[in-house]
Amino acid sequence: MIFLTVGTYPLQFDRLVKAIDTEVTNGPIEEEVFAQIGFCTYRPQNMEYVEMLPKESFDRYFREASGIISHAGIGTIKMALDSNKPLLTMPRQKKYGEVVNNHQVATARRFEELGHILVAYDVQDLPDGIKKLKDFVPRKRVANPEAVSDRIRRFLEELRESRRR
Amino acid sequence: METSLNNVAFGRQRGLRICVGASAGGHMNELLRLLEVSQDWPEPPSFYVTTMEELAGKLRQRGPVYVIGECNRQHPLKAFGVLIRSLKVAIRGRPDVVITTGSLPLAIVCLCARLTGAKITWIDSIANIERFSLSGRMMRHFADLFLTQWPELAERYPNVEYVGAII
Repeated sequence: MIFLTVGTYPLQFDRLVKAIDTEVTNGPIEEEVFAQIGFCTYRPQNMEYVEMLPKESFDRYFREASGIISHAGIGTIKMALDSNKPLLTMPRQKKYGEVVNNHQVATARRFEELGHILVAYDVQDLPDGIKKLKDFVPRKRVANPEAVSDRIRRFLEELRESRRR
Repeated sequence: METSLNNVAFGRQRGLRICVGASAGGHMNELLRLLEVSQDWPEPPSFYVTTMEELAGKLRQRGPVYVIGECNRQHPLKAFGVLIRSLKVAIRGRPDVVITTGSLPLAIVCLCARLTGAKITWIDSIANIERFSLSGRMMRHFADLFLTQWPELAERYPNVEYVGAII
């Protein structure tokens, strides 16, 4: 099963959902697709879908999928990296009313360069991306949340001290 | 002696009231990851803020949650609802500090909390790589601690720190 998600972002991303729905019948997708379509207005004809899953069910679909197709949201990218799932993203774009700025294009480009994800910058790139998704092995990411937490701890301790004075 | 009595009278001896919040999506993933490694903060968060009921469940296991709704700059009317609920967070929650990974609705919470005297820690999302978002650019002027997750952005702006990426 391929899991398609457009995230929780409160705007439509019909372009991606429609394109994948079409690919299900006449494209390179061999598996069944399940979609969380969020705030999309387009209703898929060829795949099962829901608008929004509770977090627990979302996590289950994510876990059971062989690959993920999604918008280039950082939440989905992080989940895919954490669970070592092949991920194909298509960035939301401002000119189509899918997002308020084009940060997802930059996110997609950076994480693609780092070998973490596959990217289709437009609908035309999707069939090729879908073919690559099956064998894509994402590169592991090294982050340092402890350093961020530690900086905040110091800030909080200074704040507490200054309030005591 | 007198000073310390005054402090007790004004409730200053109590621990910090920490408000922690994030919008649905990546902002929330970043916040949850941060909370996983935050055991050595002087106090645990007193309460939480998010934008969608779907995400509140997971946070309620940790403590009280305010759901303030979604808004972005294309929906100014929704922002009014978020503003009202954010004022409620500031007045009822009485935070001493707000720690957030964004986005715009949480910037509104920060501004409201600042009116009631809270300090602000803004952690700009890792999704902002080449420039800060509108809310990030705004919060750069109001945050007491502003962290970015990309070293290039910290070099470009004064008062912006990079110590690492959450995810």
